[in-house]
Amino acid sequence: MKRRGEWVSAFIFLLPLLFTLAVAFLYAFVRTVYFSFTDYNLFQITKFVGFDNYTKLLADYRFVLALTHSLVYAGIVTASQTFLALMLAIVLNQKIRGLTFFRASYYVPCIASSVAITTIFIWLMNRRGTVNWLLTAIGRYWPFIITGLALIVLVQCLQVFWERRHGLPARVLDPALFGISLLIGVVGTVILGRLGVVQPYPMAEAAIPWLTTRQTFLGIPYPLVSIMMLNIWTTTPTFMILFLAGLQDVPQELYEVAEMDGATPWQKLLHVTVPALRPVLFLVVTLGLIGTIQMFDQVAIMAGTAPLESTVTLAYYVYWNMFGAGTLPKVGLASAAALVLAVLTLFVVFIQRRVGFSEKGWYS
Amino acid sequence: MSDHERKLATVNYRGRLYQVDAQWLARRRIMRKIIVYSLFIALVFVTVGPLVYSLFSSFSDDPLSWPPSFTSPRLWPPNWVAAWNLGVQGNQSAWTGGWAPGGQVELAVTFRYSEPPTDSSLPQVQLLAPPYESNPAADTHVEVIECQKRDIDNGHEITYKVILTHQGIETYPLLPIAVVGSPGAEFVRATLPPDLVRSRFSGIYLTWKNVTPGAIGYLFNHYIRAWTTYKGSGGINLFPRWIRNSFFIAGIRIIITALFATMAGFAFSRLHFPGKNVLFLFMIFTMMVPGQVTFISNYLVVRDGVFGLSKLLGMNTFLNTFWALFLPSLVSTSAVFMMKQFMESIPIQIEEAARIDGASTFRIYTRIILPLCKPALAAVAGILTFQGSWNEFFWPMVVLTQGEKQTLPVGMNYFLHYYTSVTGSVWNMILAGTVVSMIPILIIYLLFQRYFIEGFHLSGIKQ
Repeated sequence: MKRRGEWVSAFIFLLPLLFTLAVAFLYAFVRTVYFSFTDYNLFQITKFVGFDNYTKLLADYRFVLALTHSLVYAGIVTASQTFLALMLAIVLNQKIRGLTFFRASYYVPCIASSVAITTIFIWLMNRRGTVNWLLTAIGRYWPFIITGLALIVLVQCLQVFWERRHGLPARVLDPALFGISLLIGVVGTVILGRLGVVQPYPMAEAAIPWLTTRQTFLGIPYPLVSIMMLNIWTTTPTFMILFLAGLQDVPQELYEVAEMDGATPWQKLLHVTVPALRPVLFLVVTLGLIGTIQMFDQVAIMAGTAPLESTVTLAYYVYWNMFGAGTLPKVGLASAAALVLAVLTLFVVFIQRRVGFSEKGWYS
Repeated sequence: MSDHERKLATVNYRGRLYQVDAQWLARRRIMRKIIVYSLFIALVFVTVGPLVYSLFSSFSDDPLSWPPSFTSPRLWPPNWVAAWNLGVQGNQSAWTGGWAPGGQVELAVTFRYSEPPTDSSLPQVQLLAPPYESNPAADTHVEVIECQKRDIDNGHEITYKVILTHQGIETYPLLPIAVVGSPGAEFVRATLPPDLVRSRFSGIYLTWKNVTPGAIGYLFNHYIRAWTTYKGSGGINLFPRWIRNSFFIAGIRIIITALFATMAGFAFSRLHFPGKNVLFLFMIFTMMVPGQVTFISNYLVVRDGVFGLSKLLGMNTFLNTFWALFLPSLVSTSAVFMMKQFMESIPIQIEEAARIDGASTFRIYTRIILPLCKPALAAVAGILTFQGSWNEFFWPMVVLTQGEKQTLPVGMNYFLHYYTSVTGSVWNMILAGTVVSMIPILIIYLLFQRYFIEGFHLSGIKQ
């Protein structure tokens, strides 16, 4: 009797949630499946068209573009932000003061709305914007950069060689020696520049039309490259914090044992750090894939500046078929594309479950 | 240092043991610290830098200058003083300025004439028509006098005093003028730097969009323009409206989440019912499904007023109403998840004692669980819900198409498109708007930083 009373009260407590899940999710999902087999356009009487929408999708070059963009985007962004975050975390894995402050500032790009961040990026990536200015500066001063790097490497090698000759266990990247090398490298480059030995390269001003072009860079349209850079910029620091948290848990003894066995830093990274970080690594990769494959906001915000063909992703393709095309909404086509997107996302989730990553790990 | 004073330490390097000087080791450690700190600081520049840069550039008259610059005359304090004085002279208003009866403004302008024979006749003053306002030209008397002449290398500098007198009875918010120097003259300085300096065949044009700005009016010029120039139907200023809408919606969201998410979290963590695990897994599953999959049906549901429920409120549709924002996402699943996790950490003994005393489930929820949940409630319902609501873009964009109903991100998107396409880019205004849109969320972040970081680990990372 008491049990049944509890069911009733549980039902009452869950009512708002059940309503949301039933209407906004279950009903919506079923209807999307249904629409994908019809030619509904919000106004006319619906006709059942079988798999027509799916064949139409495959024939639509924009869908093929959107699918490729989404996959390429998810792949490249996830790979680069994971790699960058991992590298940064390993370098920065030190017990330092003020970590709270640093952590707080690394989350800032994640806090602001996508509209604000994308607006700032559109400004920076203007044809006469700061990004092109920086590229011009780098392009003109690359002889200086190369000279500086060469000097640093040279001085470092000499120092390490010197110390080893004197029986000291100097590492190749010994920090104390590196500080001296850096100083000599910078001062040396400045002096060589003053003497006129090294001169700026007379490059024309970079005028890459980041957002307004159909041109491609290694096969990827420039606007999409910009969005990739934007996304890597916003998420890398966040993932780095996740890695840093994971690194704190790696048992120190593992490193000591590896050192006893004469492991190089690179071997320690590959055989101790990365395996110990596997749960975090997996979390970061799946979170990254789920987030990037659904990318919508940036494309919608850049829609005013960038041509559709050079930014469209699956999520935006769905929206565009509903409200963006300037014709009657193609509900059927949009639904079919949405289902492709759902399948892709759920595939990632499925893999995540299969690899046996408990849901606890996700949220801990 | 003699040998016996040296401290030695043992180092293991690649499986071999070395005896080294302790100082040598310390030096290495300190240098490593310095390098690590520099990297941490460099990364702060990478993450926060672009935002700070856009803040500075939002004050600049030309945020697309080449090379980029951090400074602008508007950020130079002596100019604030000049703007303050001009505001007092024009309208007795040091902060916001204006052009009122009884106002008399003195503006000193210095030109350099390098070739002695060039025409050094008095500069002309043109009274310009301000945008969207009535024209102060008819009420304004202009006088130009030469007040100082100084010889310099191959030429001379002349300072003129432009005296503007208000002779009418109307008060104007702006007084835009142009001072036109003779061709060959070179602009040196003025009481207040002009907004625009252009050399033309007919002379050198110095333009002030408002010569009586007041301190705030001068410093926050682009902010005021962003706030007041983008109008919706009926001439209302849309920007403040969006901010109001966003705050209002976030407030309602917080209340809804505080109520419904704790209810569901309570059921999941404390009550026994069949299908609990299945329902919970299903809820987790819905968190992963992209909004683009369900928005088509949800749009139709909202358009038809949620199965006709809108008829009860006398509306045919929920499109372009705030109801549209609340109904399809009544309960935030991630908030339910977090509340459940938190409630499971509350010891069950307290509750059992209450049950023995005959308390009902509802009573346990209101009298025991809710008061104990205050910290989690503050984090989840207050801060994360505010952030989610303040930044939400996709769904509001689908259902809110009327300017005065929109939220800040959706409105900002229209604002951006309008000012980058129709009238040419006005990036200082766009950046000013962007900065304003970020202020509330950044303030809340600074105050409650810890909760945000916990929240990220929970609800997945926003892309």
